[in-house]
Amino acid sequence: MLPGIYGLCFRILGRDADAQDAAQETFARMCAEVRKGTEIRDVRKWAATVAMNRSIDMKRVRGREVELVPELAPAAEESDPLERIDAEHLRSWMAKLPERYRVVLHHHFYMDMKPQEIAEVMGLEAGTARVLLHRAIVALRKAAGQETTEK
Amino acid sequence: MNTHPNHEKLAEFAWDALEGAEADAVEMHVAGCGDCALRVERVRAEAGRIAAALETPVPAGLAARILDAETPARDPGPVAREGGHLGTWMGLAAAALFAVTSAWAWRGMQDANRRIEKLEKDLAARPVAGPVVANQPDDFDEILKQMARLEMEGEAGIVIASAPGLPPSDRETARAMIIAATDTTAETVAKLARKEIDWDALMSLDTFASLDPDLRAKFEPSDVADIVAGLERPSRADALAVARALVGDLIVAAGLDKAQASSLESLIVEKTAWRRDFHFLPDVVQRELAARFVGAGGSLRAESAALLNETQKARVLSFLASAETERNRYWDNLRKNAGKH
Repeated sequence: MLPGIYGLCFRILGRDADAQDAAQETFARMCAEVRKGTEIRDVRKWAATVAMNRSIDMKRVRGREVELVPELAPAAEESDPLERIDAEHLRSWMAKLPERYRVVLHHHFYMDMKPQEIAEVMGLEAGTARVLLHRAIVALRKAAGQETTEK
Repeated sequence: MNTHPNHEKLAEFAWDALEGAEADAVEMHVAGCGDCALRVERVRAEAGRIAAALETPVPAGLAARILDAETPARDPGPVAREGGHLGTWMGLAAAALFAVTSAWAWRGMQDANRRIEKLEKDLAARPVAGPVVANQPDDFDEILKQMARLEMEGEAGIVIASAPGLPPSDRETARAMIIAATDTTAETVAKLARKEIDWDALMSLDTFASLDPDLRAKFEPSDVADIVAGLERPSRADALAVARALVGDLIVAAGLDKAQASSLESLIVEKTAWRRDFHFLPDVVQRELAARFVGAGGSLRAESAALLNETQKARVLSFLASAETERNRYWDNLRKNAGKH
């Protein structure tokens, strides 16, 4: 579970040292809860929620990085700009996406969460989680498309 | 369905983000529509690339750091807390065990083995080791119960999540039934023996109303005695029979295909058998197993092996081998998926 949690923290905080701190705190809290005998119904969801909230708090304290949410056209393109792209580029574009998009992509494509689970972890309606997921993909495709046409 | 699903629907289907009737409808359409099947293929390929790009290697030492923070050597608290430390570690192990169905469970915890060896040495070297051991039986039961519960919750969650045919009204009941069916803790066995498990609830599931009478007969309360006997007998074949009778049919009824059902069965059998064996092992070996399970390795240290009798040794080694196989399988799948694009 550690890679999923660390990855999530890293996705939000963008810095290894901070992500390590957040991941460690997440596990420390989990240990404390287990020790207290707290019922954790779904460890994965629980840990993802704690890691996400902790990372967002830390980032707020750090007080950097203004989030810009670009206006996006609905998905309509048939061609797939992501097709020709290697993971390295994809990662760098992903890093430029707004935080919520990065988080939703991580939850779904890396931690295999369904929209309903994402909604629970992020405190959203299921429909909103769905829309967020689509927008994140569209934003990623758009970033990839711009880059490839510029080249 | 003759109209094509819209772009979003199709994408969600490809991402495995649709559930229930919606997913069925799209699946049926895609099966008969070359264009849509092609689009689904492409979206899946894209999803694979996104997942690969999200892969974030865990820094060496992070696992060690996390375990370090929970190691008694750094925090020499009162003796009463020692069981707590162990409980904490086992809690972590339980979390990792729970995650065994996901590929990421196996990655990144390489340092855990070394840390655990240090932890064992620290525990052994400390003068309070006596009281710790004396404290363990109670704690261990509690810990195992917690582990078992976490695992079963996880399994039930997986079954329910992947059972598109199960109406929402049945989900909670089915979840409770799966947990009851796979729970081998003394508490639940006793409950079964006292016939306190709510079989009527199972019989009233909508899904069951449409079942073949032969299949339904398997869930008659008269089976309870057999189930209890099965749970108490240590043989693997019995565990399999119990899992089949209780879970196999339930999940088939819930809409899983045969392959899904049988893989879930074997998972449950594996865990049931393992939990049962686990109880009889010396504490040091239990800790080592927990460490090996989350880390890498399919062998047993000589010191640990010396603590076991032949039967126990054989069980432990076969458990380790199967854990190793499982781990390799996940790695292979991962590589295969990564190699596709």
